[in-house]
Amino acid sequence: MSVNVLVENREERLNSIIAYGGVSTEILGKFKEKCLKNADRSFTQAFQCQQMTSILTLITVKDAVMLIHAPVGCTGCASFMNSAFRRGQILRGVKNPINAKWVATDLDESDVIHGGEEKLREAILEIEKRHKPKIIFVLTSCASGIIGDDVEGVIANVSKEVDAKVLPVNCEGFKTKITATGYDACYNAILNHILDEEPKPKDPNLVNVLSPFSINKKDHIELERLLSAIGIKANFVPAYAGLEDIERITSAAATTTVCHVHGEYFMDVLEKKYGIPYTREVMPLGIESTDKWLLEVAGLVGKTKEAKELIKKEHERIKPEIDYLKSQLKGKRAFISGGPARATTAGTLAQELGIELVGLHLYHFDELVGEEIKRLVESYGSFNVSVANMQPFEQANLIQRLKPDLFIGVGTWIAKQGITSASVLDQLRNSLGYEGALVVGRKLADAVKNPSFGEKLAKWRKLPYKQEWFDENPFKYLKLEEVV
Amino acid sequence: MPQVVEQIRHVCTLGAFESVLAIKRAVPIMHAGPGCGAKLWTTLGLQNGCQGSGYVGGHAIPCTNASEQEVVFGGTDRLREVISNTFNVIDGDLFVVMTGCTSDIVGDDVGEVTRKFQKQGKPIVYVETGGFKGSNLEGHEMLIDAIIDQYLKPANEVEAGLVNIWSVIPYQNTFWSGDIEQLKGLISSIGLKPNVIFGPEGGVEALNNVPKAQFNLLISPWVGLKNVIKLKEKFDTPYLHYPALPIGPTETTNFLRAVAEFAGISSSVVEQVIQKQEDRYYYYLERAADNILETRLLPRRFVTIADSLYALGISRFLTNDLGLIPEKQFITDNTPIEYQNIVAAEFEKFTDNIVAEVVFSNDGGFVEDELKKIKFRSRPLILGSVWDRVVAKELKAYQLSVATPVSDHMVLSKSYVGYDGGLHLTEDVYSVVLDDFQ
Repeated sequence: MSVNVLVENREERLNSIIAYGGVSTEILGKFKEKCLKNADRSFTQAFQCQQMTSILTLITVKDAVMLIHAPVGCTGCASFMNSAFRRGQILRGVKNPINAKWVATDLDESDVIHGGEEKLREAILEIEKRHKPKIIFVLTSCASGIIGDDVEGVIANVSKEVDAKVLPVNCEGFKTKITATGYDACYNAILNHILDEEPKPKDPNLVNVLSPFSINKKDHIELERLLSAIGIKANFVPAYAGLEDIERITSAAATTTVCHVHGEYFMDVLEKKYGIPYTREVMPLGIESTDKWLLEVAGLVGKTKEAKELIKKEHERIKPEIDYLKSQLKGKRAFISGGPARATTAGTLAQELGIELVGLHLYHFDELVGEEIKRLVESYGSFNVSVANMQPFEQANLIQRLKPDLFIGVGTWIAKQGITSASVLDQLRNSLGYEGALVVGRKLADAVKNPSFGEKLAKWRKLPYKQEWFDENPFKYLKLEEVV
Repeated sequence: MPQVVEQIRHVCTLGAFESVLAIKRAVPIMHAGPGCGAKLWTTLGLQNGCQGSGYVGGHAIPCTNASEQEVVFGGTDRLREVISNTFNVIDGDLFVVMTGCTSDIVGDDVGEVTRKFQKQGKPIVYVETGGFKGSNLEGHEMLIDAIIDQYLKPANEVEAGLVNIWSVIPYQNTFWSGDIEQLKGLISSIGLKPNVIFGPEGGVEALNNVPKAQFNLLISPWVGLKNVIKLKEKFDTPYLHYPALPIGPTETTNFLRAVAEFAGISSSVVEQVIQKQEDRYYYYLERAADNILETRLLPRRFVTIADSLYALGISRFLTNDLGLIPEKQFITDNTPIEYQNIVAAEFEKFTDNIVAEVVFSNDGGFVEDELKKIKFRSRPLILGSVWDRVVAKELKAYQLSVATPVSDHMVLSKSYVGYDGGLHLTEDVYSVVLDDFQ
């Protein structure tokens, strides 16, 4: 068995930060001068952990079972992911959708004292017996990490007794505040335990499209449509992929991803280890971002001419409706919130739809989206920027000051401030590619057209913050370290 | 048989923060790793009847998001900081510090930190709910115990007729808020004054009134028994333990009689209420009977796969009132061993000496295998969670989701409790059968 080289946290590897409050021109300046430091807050609200990210990255892999070495609560997100997985199967034409295959070792008080290694071993054997999977992903947890279970040792021993490939995914929640690190843990496991040392024979038209489970079927169809129009075969991995698709990764001519923040680590390793080149464009969300993404992918496999022609045709096709949507959205002031790739590209799309950007909230920030911020500053000039792993108390304060007409993101809290919203992340509808630009545009126009849901809710239900909080500086609780 | 859990139907001890959220203007403060909250509210809130998270739920919950720093060097400083700023930012009436695995394994002295705030007169309690300690049902008991020990004050006098209702577990029991409203209505109907802590009409004031109640009414096979015993010890409040959730006319009538007898209410008052309610129930059932008896589509055998409270209540109704026959009943709430016999005994008390076999397991994979071993002679009815849709399809069973997680229905104020609840359950069961032929 190969050694599982641990991947560094994104805090160290990419200088990712989770705490910032200021304006766009300032964060861009600091980023360029490399003086953005990570900080924390002296008041924080519940966030997510990297284990959740790892779980959702691998949950839809075919013929795989996920074993979470943890108390039963750590598998709590199973129920959501199972709903989404079942919906995903139905959208992919599966008549009898199955449940996500998912097991917890159910660590209890005795295991915490005496160690959970024996239980882990038995669980792996039980999974083999019950499900006979091709892959068993073993995910670590806060509890298994702190009590110091030798997960890799157990796997090395038990592997001889089972047919499945057993992969350790090191994703203890407390180890990082950048949840995207959980993607890297999964790809690291795939790299170290599934891919062969030598690349498979090249397929010049095959391009890996790294795709997390949050990318829905409609988006797959749209991206597949664009790529196949220029003669590219897409290998979507790992969401909804099988072992064969994963093994095929090393035969690809290039790698791209629907979200650079998701796939950057793996793409880089694939280039270094197997010489497979990759794209840097952040996400094909919005017209310009899709153009750039498509051109970049095409450039890597010698199909630039075809891509240019396709782009021209697509622009002509969508122009009439984009013009109409612009007429509906022109001058609306928007606040955008989301993961760094999605929120920044949504900013570009907003501009294409005639929307004014007043505030941008990113779950984290690092060099992967530096270019995107630059693009937004070039388009909009100065706007408010907040970097926070959720922390809705800060956002509520900011929203109260900025009073946008429209919120682009998950509008749960914002509704209680009477603001209408639409999301650019959707389980059913498109958000990527040219189709996505239209669908998102329609959603935004509808949200603006009838804001009554939030307006009514806001009259009856308030956010849980004291009035005094809204009078304070929204970034009061940032603990900024002095820059040396 | 190795101890593994597939297809979760409850979460860990820390999941009891949902019970805090169910008390109006009460605020949990989590001292836990960063993802604990999000995982637990996914199963209990989002994917369980789309219940959501309420006033200060979801990502709004104050949390230390414990990192390597807190694990290696201890997290009490961080906790102190977050608690004190919670008082600056969050508008609430009661605050409950709850710990996760990280804090409980490294041994942070959360009691010490909390007591300092208590001494300043802040309404705050703490409870150590590291996920490895058990289920959220046990976590709920630990939470109530902490509130009794650290927060409740003895009353000057007992208020005659005031009854504290302890029953469903908020968010774990998918229909809890509707259930509480129904229980409240039943208790009021016989002239008592219900005091409910959770749900749309509860709150911190109701909590403050707990010590002056005439008695505590526990409606649950086992969850909460510790709490009412503690309340007896601390405030000398007597309690009535009624194990079955009253669903439909037979159980609801028994329930009202038992409560009235315990409270010393004259039987003429109670019988009048019962007469009126049963008559209304049978007005509707008479009409349903035309269909049920003419088409004979209703399955005869049923299985429940649920927590002990819902499994018992539903199986009593389906057996005693709808005339169905119970096959194996699966109890998935990780019932502690000391309660398993008393829970199982309740499944021997059906009409016509019918007895149901009870299997305790919180491992959905095991339950699925057991289900496949049962020889059903016709299409059965399976009342479980959304996980069971797959095996139900395989077994050609009719399936209705009634227990965590329920992600195929939205549940707002709906309830199966009481006379009216029996009608709703009949509607839903029969609708599943009808829907299958559309």
